[in-house]
Amino acid sequence: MTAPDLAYVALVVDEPEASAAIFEKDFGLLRQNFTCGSLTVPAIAVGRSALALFQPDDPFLGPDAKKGVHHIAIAAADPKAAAEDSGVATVNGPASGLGGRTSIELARDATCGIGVRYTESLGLAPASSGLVERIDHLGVASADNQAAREVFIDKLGCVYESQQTDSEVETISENFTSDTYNYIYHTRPSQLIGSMRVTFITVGDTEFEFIQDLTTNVQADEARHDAAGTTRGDRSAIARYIAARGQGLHHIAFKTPDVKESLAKIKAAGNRTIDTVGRPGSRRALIGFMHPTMIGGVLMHFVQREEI
Amino acid sequence: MAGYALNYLALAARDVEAACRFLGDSLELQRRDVPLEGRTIPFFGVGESAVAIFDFDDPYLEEPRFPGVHHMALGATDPAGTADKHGLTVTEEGIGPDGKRFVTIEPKETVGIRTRFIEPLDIPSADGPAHKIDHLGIATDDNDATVRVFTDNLGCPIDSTQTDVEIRNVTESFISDKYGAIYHSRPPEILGGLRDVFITIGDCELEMLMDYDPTMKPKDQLGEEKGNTKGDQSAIAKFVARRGPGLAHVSFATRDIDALLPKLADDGWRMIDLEGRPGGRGSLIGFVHPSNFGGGLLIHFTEPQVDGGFAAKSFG
Repeated sequence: MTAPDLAYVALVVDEPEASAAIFEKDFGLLRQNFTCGSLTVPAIAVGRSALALFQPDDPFLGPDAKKGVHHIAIAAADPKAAAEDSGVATVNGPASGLGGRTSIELARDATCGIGVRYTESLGLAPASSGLVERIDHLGVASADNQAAREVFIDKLGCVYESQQTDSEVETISENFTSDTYNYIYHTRPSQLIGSMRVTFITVGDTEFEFIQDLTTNVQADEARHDAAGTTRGDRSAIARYIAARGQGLHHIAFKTPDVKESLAKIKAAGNRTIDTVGRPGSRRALIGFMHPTMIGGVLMHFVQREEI
Repeated sequence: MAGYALNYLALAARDVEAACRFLGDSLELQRRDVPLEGRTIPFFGVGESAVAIFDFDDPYLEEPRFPGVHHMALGATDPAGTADKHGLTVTEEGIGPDGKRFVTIEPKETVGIRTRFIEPLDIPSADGPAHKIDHLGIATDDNDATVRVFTDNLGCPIDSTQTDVEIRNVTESFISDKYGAIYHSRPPEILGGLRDVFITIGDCELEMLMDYDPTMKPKDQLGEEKGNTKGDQSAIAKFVARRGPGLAHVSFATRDIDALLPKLADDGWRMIDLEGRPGGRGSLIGFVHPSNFGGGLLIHFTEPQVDGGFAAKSFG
């Protein structure tokens, strides 16, 4: 079994045309249109893969498609055979996908809530721009990283990349400074206020980033997009996502040479960002989030990091 | 004489009987029922002054009435003359407990601290688990104004000043099996604090407590966990917002707070703290839950700094 190649990542957005224009103009990437049933789906080549931009009611997606990262498609010469080889249950049998290519869908409840399809290759040339080298990772809100390893490594043949634990610890000190009595400095025991286990599994030229919330003693915070993110905030976002939608694809990250510069360029082009400078992220990276309203409902961030 | 001395402190309780059991039985304070207009009011001698327990609706207490620390009475052989001498406006002149003459001072002139002058009552006290009043906690938004009234005008000396601050330090760690470990700490964040001024009135102090930074949002839930500086700041900020500045709590001095707090819990009193925590002036403090007395009345204990005070106790 060879490691699977990623044909495309399906994003469900409010307006595929408007989003395609942002990827073209602001990210400097190329687009190519594919017919899919009676609709046209813009595809943006990025790295050795692509983004396919769907509207929410595209029948190819199936019912109740929510905005965000909808599914990934693994390239296979014979999608049906590849699906059968994986041993994972399929739904609906082979269907006609992008550009009439054969596509077959795996059962979401057998793939940790992640939409996975096999498709014939789109045949796009590898592509990058000054802003985006490739997809760095696909963030997954996960309830069980061990289960994800069993599906994506053991069954689908993806390769384990790395695992890490992110924690945020708070330590509170009280300081009483008197002009007459003792100076008192008193520190209370440290408390873990947010923790995640993050497992990276390679698919094509990118990785799944399975994020499992490990925090047990602190309620998830309310969503806020007005301040730079933190581990505690990220952990809360994953907890909220799982509570509201269950496990599944959560965000998409693009590898960029300079996160600060890229955020500034995106902002200068008239888009909203959450971060204005890079902050520490997984895999020794600097990361910076764009606002989810930018590409109608998809959470995206940049990643700047050295590859090991 | 330096300034004026506290003669008695009037506490207003919803549950007078519980407050009397607390002071008389658990703290072993000496009780004397003092006649007042055909009824009697329980007074408890403590150190060189006394604590009087009133029903929170007692007509001796001027409006607005609510459970809590109602007023303090400073001893003066000529109450009206004393007020006049200091240029303070008298809103009421009358005969109080034990037939003693008193005057009530316009509270606006004492920064909201309801103050009376009274011919000193003689309430006997005995040594016990609480041997004197340590201080009266004042919620204020203007420490300087309280100094002008009680020190500059009435001559009560300043004992000390201090600043209490609670700071949060956050460290994030990213520990990978491939990319190594990264630690980074965010800058310290001030969560809240208080500026305190202690002014001596006899054998105890007024403790002025002023919110360190009024833009800091108070905590919603109080009294559910053991206390801390952020909680204290929140309590003061809420008190000032709701009632305006004034008398907020009373603290009794004890010689062994870590023995007294659990003992009170054993007696059946609901406690916020079960062991002494760092308080003002190098002391250890611990709070009693106001629900014991029907709510509103906040009492705590202070083990004053002795032989290093807080420094002598190690915290885990």
